[in-house]
Amino acid sequence: MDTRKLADEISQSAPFFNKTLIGNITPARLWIFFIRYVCPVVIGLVLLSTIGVL
Amino acid sequence: MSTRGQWGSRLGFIMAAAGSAVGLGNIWRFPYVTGQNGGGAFLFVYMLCVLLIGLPLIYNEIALGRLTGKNAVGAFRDSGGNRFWVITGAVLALCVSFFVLSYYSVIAGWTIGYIISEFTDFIKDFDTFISTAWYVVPLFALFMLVTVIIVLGGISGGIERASKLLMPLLFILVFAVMLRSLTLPGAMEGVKYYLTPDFSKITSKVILAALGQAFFSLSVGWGILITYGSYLPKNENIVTSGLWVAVMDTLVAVLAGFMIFPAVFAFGKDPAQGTALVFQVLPDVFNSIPSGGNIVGALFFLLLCVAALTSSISMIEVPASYLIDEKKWRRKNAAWVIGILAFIVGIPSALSGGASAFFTNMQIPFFGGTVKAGFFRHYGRHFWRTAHCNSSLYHQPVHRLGYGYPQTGR
Repeated sequence: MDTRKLADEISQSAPFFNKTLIGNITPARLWIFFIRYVCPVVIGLVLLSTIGVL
Repeated sequence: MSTRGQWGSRLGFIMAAAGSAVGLGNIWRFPYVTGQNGGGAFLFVYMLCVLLIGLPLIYNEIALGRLTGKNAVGAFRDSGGNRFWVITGAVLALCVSFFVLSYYSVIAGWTIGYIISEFTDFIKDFDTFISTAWYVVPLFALFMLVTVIIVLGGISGGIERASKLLMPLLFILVFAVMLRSLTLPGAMEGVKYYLTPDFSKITSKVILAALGQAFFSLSVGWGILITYGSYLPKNENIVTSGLWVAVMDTLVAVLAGFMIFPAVFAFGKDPAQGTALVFQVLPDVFNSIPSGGNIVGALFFLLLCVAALTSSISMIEVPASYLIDEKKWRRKNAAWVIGILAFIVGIPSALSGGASAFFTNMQIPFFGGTVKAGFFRHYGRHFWRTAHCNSSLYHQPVHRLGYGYPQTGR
């Protein structure tokens, strides 16, 4: 699912999720960045660590 | 049009979701891991992990549940992703909750035994207790029964009502035991061990341990928050609700350290004992408290039991909501079937001294002896051929109870 749809769902009841912080960065954009790029890498590392590869 | 249950209030959702996250792991695993990995320094890293990784994932799951308005399987299907990952996610969500429930409830049953034992002293030692089927299986059944009864009540009438009662009770118990623990002579040594930051211990392995603990503790990736999110009304704020869930979970874990380490240090015990710390060391510690030790002990195990109960109801809800939504089962039937199946699946675990030995060391009382079998090593038709009798392993506990199996095996 497109993470933007989920961000819209979150901001539906939390309007500040789309409020600009600095430049054109909003909490929603930060959240999408973490969900798309940071979390998958981190989860992968934890899984590799769990099975003893790292 | 079928009507799905909904949380009656925001507080109800927060209590239920936080209750799902707060479990046995918060109370025994977190303080132990913290103490072992740099105390305050680990705490700092852990909180960063919760904030940067755990919290975004909590929001993700709640939003997915609320957007689709479906159980974990339905939500994955509606997410429209790659078929392989949709099936993998759905199967994992169902299987993880169901199988964890089956052995988690065994351990939760032990806590009921320990509550009773604080007043009757029927548990002489941990190993004997967990290998005595006549104790652990009925306690396991009792815990599962209570879980099913709560889930039978539905979302607002069962899970929400129970969580609103159990979570405040859990916090009261945490504070009561913590106060007694902190007022013991020598308790401050435990606080120092727990909180003194030692940044030299922060390595990449420790960061991974903190991440693992965050995933383990926050209930992300199980489908629980997707399911609970699907019962959340559209006007409820996901950001603040999710934040409360993470804060409450972390708070209980941090406070648990103030409960355990002061008591352990006050009585000169080894803090690095993991599960044994909770079930073997702490009962001795509580019994050594000059006045009201058994009451503190009973409160502590009641706290463990409550923490386990708030988690186990969420584990039943994931597969139950699948059967209700997708297969159009009645809640009553779904809850009973999942509960009974999880009980049956959990019996080998109960008979083998808990989850750790399940796959390698299953022991079944069998015609006057015990069949001891490595579950995977002897899987399939080889299971019956290669299973071997070992009556001696089982004799001690049953003789202690006065039942007495014959000395020979099958």
